[in-house]
Amino acid sequence: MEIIKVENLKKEFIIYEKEPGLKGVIKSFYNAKKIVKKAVDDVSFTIQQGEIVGYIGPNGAGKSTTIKMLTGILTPTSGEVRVDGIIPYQKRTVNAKKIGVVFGQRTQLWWDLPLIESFTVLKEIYQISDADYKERLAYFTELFGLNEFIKQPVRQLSLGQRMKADIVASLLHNPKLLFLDEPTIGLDVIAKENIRKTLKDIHEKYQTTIILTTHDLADIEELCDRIMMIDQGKIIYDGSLETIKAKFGSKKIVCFTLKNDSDIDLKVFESLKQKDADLTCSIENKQLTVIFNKLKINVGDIIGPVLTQTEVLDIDISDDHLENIIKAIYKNGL
Amino acid sequence: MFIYRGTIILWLLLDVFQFFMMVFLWMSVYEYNQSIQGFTLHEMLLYYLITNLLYVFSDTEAMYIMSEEIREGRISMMLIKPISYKARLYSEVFGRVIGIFSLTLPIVGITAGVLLWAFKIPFPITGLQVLLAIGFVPLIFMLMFEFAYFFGTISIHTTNVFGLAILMNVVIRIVSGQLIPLALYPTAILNVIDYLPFKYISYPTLVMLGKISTTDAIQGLLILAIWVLVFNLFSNLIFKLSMKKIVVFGG
Repeated sequence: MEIIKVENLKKEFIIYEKEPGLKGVIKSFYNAKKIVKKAVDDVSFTIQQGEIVGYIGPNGAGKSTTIKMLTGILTPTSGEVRVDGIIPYQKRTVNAKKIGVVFGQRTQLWWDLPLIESFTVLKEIYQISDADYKERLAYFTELFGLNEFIKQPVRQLSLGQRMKADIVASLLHNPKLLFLDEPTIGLDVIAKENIRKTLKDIHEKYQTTIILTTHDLADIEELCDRIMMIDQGKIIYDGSLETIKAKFGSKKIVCFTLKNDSDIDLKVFESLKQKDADLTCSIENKQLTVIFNKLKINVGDIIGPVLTQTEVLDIDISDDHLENIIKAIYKNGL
Repeated sequence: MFIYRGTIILWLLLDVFQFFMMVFLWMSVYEYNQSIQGFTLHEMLLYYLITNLLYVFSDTEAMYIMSEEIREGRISMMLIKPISYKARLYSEVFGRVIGIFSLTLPIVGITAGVLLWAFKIPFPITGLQVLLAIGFVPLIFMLMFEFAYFFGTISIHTTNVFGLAILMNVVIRIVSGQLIPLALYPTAILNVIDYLPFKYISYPTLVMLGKISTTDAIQGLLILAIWVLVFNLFSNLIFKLSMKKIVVFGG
């Protein structure tokens, strides 16, 4: 069942450019230079209920602007957007009841009041039943150790505590659709794991649709089946995570731990460089790292020569990190 | 609001100090006149006391709250919640006003008691007058809220409303009769002020001092109610149109 439908969505902002200095101030008074920034430029996609979608792109690509239009904060310049059948910016409060939002860089909690008060207010705002509220609060209290800081004013919480609190706040009313914009920013490894686990559990139990915007690709790898990539306002990729790895992740990394690095002669790779010009090899601290295109060279052709030349203590073979794949796409496009 | 204790105490002290300054001022003015524009010294002191007590209800904090939320982008966190932005702001300002009023009422009560006793001020007041005066209070609150809501909305279009806000607040103080009774103003200015709704801010006090007849008071209530409605429709329209243009930076 379709839960989000976006068609030819556009959002343009008018930005005024100002020249520096006093001259610039006077000039901008009577002749302000207008620049039209196309934050979202003709974007279309459909999301089915129950999907977990990673929405990624370089900074300033238009991710947050899209999310803001889906949550009803911004009105599109043109195009259509429907969330669960309604237009978000037209029926903002109706839409708001069904969604949970975490904006990593801002809190939705009440700054001066103890955390528990924020939760009780949210209980009233979303009209959560006493039983549901109690059950969910207990679940999160145990998972995130909320008791440690639930009575403190939100402004006194550490970043990690505040992030956990914001995630709880977005899930208290068990929304159909969850928007997460940098939900794990600033969290330690264990906290990140807990959050990923929570999201997976909730998704399994309630078929919650999740849109995840993050720069932490480990989050994407663990949670998402589908990735949408946006750059300069346009969607440049919309498909499964596996496909992206298969198509663009043709790099393989082999890491040898050598007994001593004086035996190895890197000239052994010269002939292979004829097949794959991008092949790189480097030695540092008895670690020999070879990066090559697995479509052009077999892994055996790399390992063989090294084993014959020197004593190898350990071999590590891995596919290219998702991070490097994404980096390359950001830099070079598809 | 009650969370920051230091702020409250300091600000109460300032209020009391300011009041006593005004008492001395008026006393010296009245040395040479028994009555100024129909106000005796006693009436003038009562005017100042009551108007300041009730001025709490002309609160325009909504303008600052909105302007800050818009500038900092925190407005987006309010917009993702299934509540009306205006309704939530309304309750917040209302809570704030009740909070301030509950603090100032005892202080003013004591000061008034001291004043009435020290100066032996007669204060003949009927139940009807009190009722009519109280009738104005919620309307004044609503009028000023709509007014502040409008200026808060403006900050979507211009990033800095600070100067404008201060100007507005000063102008309101002048045209409402908060500083001195409107009757003391020159006729030319009074003619202009008469067409504005802000004069009703001093009506509760004038009713209680017997300066306004019952019929005039009731008429005033009706006209003020119409003004509130007009402000309401206008500010809602501007807000709706402005929401389409809103830009929230960052994240």
